[in-house]
Amino acid sequence: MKKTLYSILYMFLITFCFTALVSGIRYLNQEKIEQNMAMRRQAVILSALNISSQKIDSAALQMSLYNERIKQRQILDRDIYIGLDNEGQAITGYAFSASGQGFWGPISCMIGISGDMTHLLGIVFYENTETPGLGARITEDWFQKQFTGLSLKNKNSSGNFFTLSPAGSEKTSDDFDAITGATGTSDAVEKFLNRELRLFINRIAPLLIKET
Amino acid sequence: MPIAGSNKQILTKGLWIENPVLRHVLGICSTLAVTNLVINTLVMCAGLIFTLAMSCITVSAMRNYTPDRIRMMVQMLIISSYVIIVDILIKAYLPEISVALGPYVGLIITNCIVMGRCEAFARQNPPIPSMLDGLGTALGYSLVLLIISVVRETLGFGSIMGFTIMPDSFERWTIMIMAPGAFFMLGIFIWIVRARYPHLYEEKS
Amino acid sequence: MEISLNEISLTTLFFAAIFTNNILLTNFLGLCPHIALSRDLKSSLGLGAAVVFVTTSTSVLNHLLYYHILIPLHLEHFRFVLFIIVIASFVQLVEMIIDRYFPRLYIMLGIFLPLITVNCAILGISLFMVIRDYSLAQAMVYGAGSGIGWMLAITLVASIRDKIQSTANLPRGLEGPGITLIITGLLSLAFMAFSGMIQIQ
Repeated sequence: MKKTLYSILYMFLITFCFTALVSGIRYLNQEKIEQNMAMRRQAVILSALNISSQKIDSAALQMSLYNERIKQRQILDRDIYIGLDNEGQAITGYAFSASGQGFWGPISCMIGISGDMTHLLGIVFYENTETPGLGARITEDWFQKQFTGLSLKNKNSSGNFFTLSPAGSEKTSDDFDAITGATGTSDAVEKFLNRELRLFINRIAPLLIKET
Repeated sequence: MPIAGSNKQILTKGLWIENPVLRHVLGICSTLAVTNLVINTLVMCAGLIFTLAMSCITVSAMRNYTPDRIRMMVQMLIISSYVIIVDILIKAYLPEISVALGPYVGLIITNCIVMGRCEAFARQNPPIPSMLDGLGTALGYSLVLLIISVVRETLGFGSIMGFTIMPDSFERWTIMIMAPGAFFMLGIFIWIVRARYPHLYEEKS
Repeated sequence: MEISLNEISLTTLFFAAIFTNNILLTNFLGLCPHIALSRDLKSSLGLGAAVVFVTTSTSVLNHLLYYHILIPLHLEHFRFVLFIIVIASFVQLVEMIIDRYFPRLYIMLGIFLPLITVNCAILGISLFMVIRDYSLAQAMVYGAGSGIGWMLAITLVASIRDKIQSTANLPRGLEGPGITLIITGLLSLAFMAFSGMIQIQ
């Protein structure tokens, strides 16, 4: 009986010690982790709006660029990041985050749309849990670059702005290369991107125009 | 139980003679998945080295007070606490690598080597030799995985640590980036070492 | 919010977990027991069955505990500790129950159960479940599918090894782990051919 009590007390005590240790270290680094996440998000926004495609090494430099060139608005419960030109005056683009269910888990991306809302400036996929080497290739440059310049003026018969079809097949200007071997991921991307783009054009864009 | 050999011997035996990967093929699960890039492998191995050395010291320092019946639970708690610390540190100081490693950092907990060294050595030996034992084992493990990752990245991406080293005409071996490449590489590596030094790794059958 | 994150159907997830994203062949989880124990078909089957049971139950348990205890308390970063302790104690509990009420089954599975705690696949499944935001039903199906996929891989390798050992003349250095890894690599390559299969349904 005494032994059992000792075991329980012992376990309780060391659990307490280690929990305290871990929490302490977490507390000390929390700020840094949050700052990292914020920096990463800023970099994604800047890249989607085509303001800086290169990675900026200095945190301070990125921060000042972000503060000069990006304004944030909330429309329909969504954060819209407004990109400004060099002087910080004219609007060059709008960026918003979109996510959908991929083949394995959620995929999130930042969509950049031109200031006159006619075409895409860029797309950055910043979060996914797709299979490495297959679905996870959506983050590769060649895939993301395809979307740059996509016109938002015309929709095809099924109401989509673009389609993804197997690489190597006959292509029109709104038909891009899917990822070979990752049909599930490609289908998911096609579906949720089109849905989000429709949402932007039909509901967010009118409100944005009214406001500015 | 007496300490097996001098401190130096304890440290070096894990590197080669008792190399956990080559001899027992243990603990590769958590790291093999990230060996297609050298930098990810380096970070994972650094995490393992820290976790293993610290866990061994802690288990060993507490060895006289820990009741035998709950020792597995206690070890699990110790190991997972260190792994969380590693996870937090990677998130804070190497944010990009943390995204690439995903859940694999957490899987250091179930790396059989950590439990194995705590049970087999640290539980019966003083802290300093235990730490050296853990350190040696972890270094031996890292050595093998680094060699594998260098080969995989060179053939798969034509680069090492992100620096392109192969000429443009080099056709990349996509298979090296994907899972089968890792299995083949490790299999062939073990084959070469065992064929070369048969006396070291005789199968006890 | 109109975005529903749980569109993936349960059957798709189940088969994908077994074939296209086999936990052993694409995520390298559960390799240690795989290499040590895939010597013969019988013990692989026994271990596989135990793993299927444990993965299914622990992914459900961990899902409940994570979303109903850790999240409300903002202790998400302790999930590693929680998951591993749940797994370890669940395995111990199952061992005791089986020993007490199903002695015959215990003789079959008994020695494999303790080995499961350090099987990275089990913890891996719980971690993936959290990262991928699975619902409870999805977590269960994913746990079961991954367990079955693991069992499938280990029994396949065990039977191939059996054949090779009795017929082929292997070079000395390649025996044991070497050949097991190469067979696993070939299987992993073969399983990649399944990646087109899931979309058919």
